[in-house]
Amino acid sequence: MSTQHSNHKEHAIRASGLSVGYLGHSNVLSDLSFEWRGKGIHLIIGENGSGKSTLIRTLAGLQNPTAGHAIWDEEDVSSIASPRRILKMAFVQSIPPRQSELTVDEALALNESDQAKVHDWLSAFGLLQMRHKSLCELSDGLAQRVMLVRAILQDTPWILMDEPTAFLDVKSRQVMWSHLSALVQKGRHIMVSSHDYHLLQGNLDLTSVTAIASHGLISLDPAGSFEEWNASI
Amino acid sequence: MKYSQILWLAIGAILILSISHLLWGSTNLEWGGIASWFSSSPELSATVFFEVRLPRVLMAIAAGSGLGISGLMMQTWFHNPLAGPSVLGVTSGAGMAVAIVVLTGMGGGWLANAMAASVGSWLALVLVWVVSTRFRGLASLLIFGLMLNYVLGALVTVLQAEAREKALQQFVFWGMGTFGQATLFTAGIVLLLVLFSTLLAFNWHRDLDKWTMGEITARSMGVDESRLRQGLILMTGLLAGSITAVCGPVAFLGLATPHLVKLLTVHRSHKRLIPLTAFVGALLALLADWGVKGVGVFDGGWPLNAVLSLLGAPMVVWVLVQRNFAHS
Repeated sequence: MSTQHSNHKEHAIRASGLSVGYLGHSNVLSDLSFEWRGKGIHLIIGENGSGKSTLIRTLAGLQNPTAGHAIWDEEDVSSIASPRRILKMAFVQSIPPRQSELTVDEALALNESDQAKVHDWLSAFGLLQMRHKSLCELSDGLAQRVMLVRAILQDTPWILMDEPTAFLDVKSRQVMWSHLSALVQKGRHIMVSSHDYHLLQGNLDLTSVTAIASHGLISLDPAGSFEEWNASI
Repeated sequence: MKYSQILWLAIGAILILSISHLLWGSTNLEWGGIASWFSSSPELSATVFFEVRLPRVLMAIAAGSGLGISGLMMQTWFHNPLAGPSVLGVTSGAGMAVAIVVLTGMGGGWLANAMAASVGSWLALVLVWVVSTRFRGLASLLIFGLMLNYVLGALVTVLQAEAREKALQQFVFWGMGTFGQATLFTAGIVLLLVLFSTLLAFNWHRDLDKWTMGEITARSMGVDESRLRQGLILMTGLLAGSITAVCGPVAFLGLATPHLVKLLTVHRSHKRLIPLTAFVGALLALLADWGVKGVGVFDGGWPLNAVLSLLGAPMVVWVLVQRNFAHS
């Protein structure tokens, strides 16, 4: 199930003098310079309203920076046309698709991956029984799992996630994190913003932990305790 | 039943209904005289067939398909199952524009009406779109559409009060909605527009599917949001505008057709929904036109919008009840 491109090369996402926010408003975060490099899970933590979502969307190329650059492997994201962008980065947003009537099969068919692969991932995520259900009929936890499978099937080296567990119950959160760890074994690069970092503590797959503090980004010790992380935001 | 079977069934029903509409009407046709249409002195039967019945059938098919497709596009774009050209004021926008053109005596010709109606539809659509980016939830957008309908309706009434009698008569007749005012030419043009739009929408089926999963996810999957939006607004406005120009404001077809389609099939991808919506829309319009013709029950039959409202309004309530069910 693993892919050839994600197994060998190490990829990096870099912020260079990056300011993020919305036109006509003051910046949410200003003049950030930072680098996230390598496989594994890159965790971004911060308080509510600290700009996690805006930052990760901008790094994902889904929102224009108000100044500076988001750079993937030496290439400015804003100069990457979407047909090529979707080969490099998949995105999971915090709210599962509650309006979509697409069935799980129909949603996953949009990636044009081969059927065997779809079957394998559905099975790995315990979704085989759900194939013919509409996304809007699924619980948030199940729908979010489908969205994770969808992102995996996009077959990109990077998967970026904006608080993927925000709307899930405790059990679904644990399931989600265990699936993320499994992905890392396949050589994927994952960047995830989350509140739920206590669930990740002691997880060997953490490559970096970045805190959004009032004056910018701080690099924390991935092997540190969650009390230590808390103290810095 | 399999998707392809439902599709063929719809096509068969359209053919049967079309033929029935062509065969029966208030005038008994002399079928031997039909061919005289192509001679220098056509008989009455030929004139009735080619100038009344055939355009009417073609127009019903075009209007049903076109409004169904524009309803589906609006429901997908706004993530709102109760969106549709008449509900959200797009038809009223077209009506308002036609009212200005007709009642001030500037136009009244088909082309002037069609152009005005399209512009009116676009303006209403852009307004609804801008408002929709501020509102969340199914109901607020609908209430906005309702208010837009009231305001435009009131403006039309003011225009009517100021209008000359002849223009007024023309406008009131148009406002009741009918497939019967079409000519072979106008029906043909609208049919071509509808065909073109349906193919275009079909061409976008993947982007539309991705869009249902939300704006951010769609963008991350490579959907060019502004291009899709411009395309949809252009297409929906052109469809609603051209159809409204010829048929008057037609209620509920756009809203109801996609829901009927979703009752008929379990598929929810636009690849499957778009063709079936086009066919089922045509089917509904032809059925409604039987109600208009009166099926011999009432002299002269019922106005088109009365028939459609009687079908469509319960549909809206039904969708709301179902949604509530699902959420409780």
